[in-house]
Amino acid sequence: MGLLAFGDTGWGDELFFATLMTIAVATAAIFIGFFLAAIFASFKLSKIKILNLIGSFYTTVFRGVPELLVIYLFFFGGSGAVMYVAKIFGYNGYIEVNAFITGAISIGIISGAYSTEVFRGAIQSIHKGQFEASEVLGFKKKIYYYKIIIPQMLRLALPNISNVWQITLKDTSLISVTGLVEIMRMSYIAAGSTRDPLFFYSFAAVLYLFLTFLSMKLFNKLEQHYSKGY
Amino acid sequence: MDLDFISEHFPRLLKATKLTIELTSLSLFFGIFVGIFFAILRVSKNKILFFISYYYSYIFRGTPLLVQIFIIYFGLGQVEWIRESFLWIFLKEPYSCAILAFTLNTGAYSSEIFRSALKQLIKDS
Amino acid sequence: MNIFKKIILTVLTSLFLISNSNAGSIKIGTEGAYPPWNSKNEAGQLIGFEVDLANWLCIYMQADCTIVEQDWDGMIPALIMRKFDAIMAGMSITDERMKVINFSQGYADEVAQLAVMKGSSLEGMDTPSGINLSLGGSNVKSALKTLTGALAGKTVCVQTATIHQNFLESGDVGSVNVRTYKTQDEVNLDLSAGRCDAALAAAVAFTDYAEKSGKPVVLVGPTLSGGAFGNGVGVGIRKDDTDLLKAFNKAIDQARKTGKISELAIKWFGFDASM
Repeated sequence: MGLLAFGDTGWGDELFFATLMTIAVATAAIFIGFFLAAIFASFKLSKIKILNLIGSFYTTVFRGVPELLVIYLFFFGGSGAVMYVAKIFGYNGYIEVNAFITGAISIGIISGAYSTEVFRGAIQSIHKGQFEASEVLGFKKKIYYYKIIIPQMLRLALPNISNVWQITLKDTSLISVTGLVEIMRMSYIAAGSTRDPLFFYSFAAVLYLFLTFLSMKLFNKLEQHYSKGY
Repeated sequence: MDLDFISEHFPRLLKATKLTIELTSLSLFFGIFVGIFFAILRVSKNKILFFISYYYSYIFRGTPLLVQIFIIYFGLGQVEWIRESFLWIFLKEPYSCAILAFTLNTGAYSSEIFRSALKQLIKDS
Repeated sequence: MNIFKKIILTVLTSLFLISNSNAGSIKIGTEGAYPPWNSKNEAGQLIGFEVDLANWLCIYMQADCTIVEQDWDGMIPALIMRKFDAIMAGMSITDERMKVINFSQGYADEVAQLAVMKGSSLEGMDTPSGINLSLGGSNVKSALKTLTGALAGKTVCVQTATIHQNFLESGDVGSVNVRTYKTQDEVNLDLSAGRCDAALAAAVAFTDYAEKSGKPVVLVGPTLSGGAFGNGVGVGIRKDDTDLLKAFNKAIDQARKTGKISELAIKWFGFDASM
């Protein structure tokens, strides 16, 4: 247990900050995902066939390809791409794209693919009557979407969004390959130094379970809040 | 596009693909049975059975798959009584450990899906 | 300045700001997961024989150095991509690697040896205490013959992309069932779990594991060096950095003359592993 002490004698403080990093990346990623999901969900619901195709392509590819591949492509490919552009300007040095940014973006894109399906499903399950009534009452499309449809969609989407959050949270463990110090990376470093991988990976599992537990509590509260009046 | 490099390594990728397909199909197949089993436990009135199913689902959906694989393969290998029991015939091999880990993981997700379906059926009947 | 020049200047400055290589200082890459050569302590700092030696070499070179962490399997690509300027990560000088990068003279030697769990049938092998594959000769040949016989059909575990893997697959010890793992830690775990009949790595890696875990790991057979095991551990440097190579060689000469390498080797390995 001394291994987990805070301060210079134990790994406790490093693991604590690594946990904060995990939460930070997951949060950044899920919001990037929401932003993308808003765009691609509307593509999928649109009447224009090409937009439908683009939307389907996005969700199929990024839910079907292994997350690790997406992360590798963005991190190593990203560095390469930026350096290629820099070479044009005559700069031959090494440029490393920030691991947090590439990590958040790659997980964000994957998270967005799942969120797209959630948003689409949620909007489609809103009673058609809501749309018809809004049109009849003379509300403009932009206004009634914002004031009537979206609030209902959020309530319906919430349970599935909690699943997307779970997936996003666990996918952050894969960014460890880029060197970003989140829970998995920190456990790997501690394990390598103390030659005790079992202890640290088991503890990592406990940390993830703890984060899952907190997330469940948070989403339960949110679901209660949005279900007021139902 | 380094075609020499690709053609040199392609046969190994093909072999690896075969293994991927094998592991996936076997795990999915066994995972369905595991899922049904735990779904039944979940809707039971018995508190103990309920919590076994609940925590199984919580642990296997709440931790990264990589950690599960690591603990099942390397972790169990460090436990003396497992090494000396008949389980070792199965747990010694990487292949079977992989299937065990994937099956338990997918079983947890399947159990959630079957659980909600089961609940509906029970309500309707 | 017209708007065009302004844009170019802004882009160049920002590219420069997000870059992290700095003229006049040397960045040295190490793994941080290979004690006692290099590892990390509980405070998260890089420590080890090579970390200390690197700092001393930089004092001799009168240069400003920073030590950077890098995963083993991306070590050479990172050097080439200029993430750092030199590799000091327990990397042995081998012909294969010299095709891609240059090495300084060797500063320390790392012998490899087979390890088994106590009670294994491989204990008590009748071989000389050490052989050097580059020297050849009848006693090397007979030692290899003994090893081939002992390891026939056995499972030997190694870390992937190492000289140890190369040796086992070279045919020098006949056909062995080679199992590779991402890290030395995983090799150690499977060795102690009984999934491996034997494992091959640097002798000090096993003594370090035996010490830290308390498990009954025993070294067997001869210590191995030369040939596929390369010729000692040196500093890895890009092919076109000839000035840096000269500077490192000079500094290593100085470190050897002043006895610094021996001193650090005894501190970290418990014996004089210097070259």
